[in-house]
Amino acid sequence: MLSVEAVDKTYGSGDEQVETLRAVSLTVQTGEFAALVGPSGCGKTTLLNLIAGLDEVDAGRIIVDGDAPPAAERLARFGYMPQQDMLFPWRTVLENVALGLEIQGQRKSDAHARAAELFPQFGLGGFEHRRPHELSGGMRQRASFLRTYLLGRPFLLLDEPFGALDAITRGQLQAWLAETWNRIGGSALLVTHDPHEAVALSDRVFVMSPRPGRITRVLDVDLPRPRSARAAETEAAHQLIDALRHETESSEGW
Amino acid sequence: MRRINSVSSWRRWFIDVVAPVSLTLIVLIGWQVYVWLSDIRPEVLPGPIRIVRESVESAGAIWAHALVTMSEVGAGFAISVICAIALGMLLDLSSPVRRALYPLIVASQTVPIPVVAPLMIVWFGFGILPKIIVIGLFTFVPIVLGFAAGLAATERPTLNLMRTLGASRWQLYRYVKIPAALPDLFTGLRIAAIYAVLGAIFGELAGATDGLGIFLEQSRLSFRTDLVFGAIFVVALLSYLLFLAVVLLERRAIPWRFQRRET
Repeated sequence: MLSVEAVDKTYGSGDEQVETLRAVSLTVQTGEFAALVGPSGCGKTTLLNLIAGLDEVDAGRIIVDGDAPPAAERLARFGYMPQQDMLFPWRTVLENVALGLEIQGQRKSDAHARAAELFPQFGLGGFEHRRPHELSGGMRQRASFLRTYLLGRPFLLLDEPFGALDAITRGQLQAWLAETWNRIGGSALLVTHDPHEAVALSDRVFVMSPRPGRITRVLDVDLPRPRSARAAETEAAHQLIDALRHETESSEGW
Repeated sequence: MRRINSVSSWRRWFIDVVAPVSLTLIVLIGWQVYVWLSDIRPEVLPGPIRIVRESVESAGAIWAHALVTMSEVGAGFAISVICAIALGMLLDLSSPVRRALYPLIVASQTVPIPVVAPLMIVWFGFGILPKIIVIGLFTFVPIVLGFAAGLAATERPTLNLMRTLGASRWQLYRYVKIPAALPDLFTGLRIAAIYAVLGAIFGELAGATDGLGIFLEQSRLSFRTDLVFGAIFVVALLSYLLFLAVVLLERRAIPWRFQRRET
């Protein structure tokens, strides 16, 4: 279980100070898929980076499974998927995906074997020895997801993983992730500015205000699990998406 | 389709080969014609035909001197590259070191080397060491600056990803920073390769018994302007060959850069 308790974060100093997060609290239960929705620049990514341990909070606590590890220890607790795929052009797709395992100290051949096993499931079969630039945007994102997943960490932090893709590919990947999640399970916190994406994938949505970011609303998504690829096309889902859209728009001051 | 292809490949061949070769020929012919018509003395300006004839006659001597220069370039360039790469790493690893050394590195490039080179002979004697140091002064700055810039170019999101993957500092360099810096390193290496032979010449001019610099100086003092030109051509050729070697090595070392362009 992940608990964020009254977290503040301010960047800069003196006149340049920017209060990014103010008294942010949220809880994600074990096995839950949560989403964090808000306008761009509201501090969603800042919060995700704080949880991941890339930075330390100014005030408040981040509690992981009952204890409050400092940032340096949180780094090893979460799987983190960045917005850009960040596949390195000097490595093949397989070498990129296995990078985390190699860094963890696994022998290269073992790391490659473990990664290669999952390539078909992630729709990457046959592309092991290609270079990243030979893959489509959607495939690159799936490879990036596989790199994160392979670390075997039970809680994933996803930072707008589909934000840089075109609308059609984004829809396909959302459907793919919804189905894949049925199989792999675990807990997740997804940052997105897309209400449709939040509803399609998550069990609970936190709505964040513009800077300084605060949680203004929590919405339960009681769509059935396992989710189908078309889970977000039902009437119930549409109502939730509309409610969420209304919520984020009003928080933007429209 | 086929037609277009053959036309475009012909055009490419023309641009790559025919254009530079014919321009060079036009310049050489113009030069030779001027020398014939003006009746200028060969000590002042020899024509290309005379330069080639006399240089071929002295080919044995030129080759012997070129071998000396090449060995100086080989040792000097290799040592310069190794030191520059080590220093580039050091600059990236430590910000105090970077602040302390950066102005000195830039200043080293402004040293008037022909003036300092004779001092090197006083300090280090007539052996190969002062030549290596002068070659280093000529070549090492572009390599250090290129490599350090490449290492520093890794962006925050990439560093964040590597931290969440659990990468140590050394792993960050091994898996990301060094491969990412290779293109900038090679940009510096290419510039350095152009100046390496010139550095050896200046080192020799300050004090040596053999080498193309000595051959140049002796030819000049005995008014053999034709051989001066011949030696200059050899210097240019050696520089170009070293440059070419760096370019070929670059294609082997960072194949992904060229693959991407082809697709």
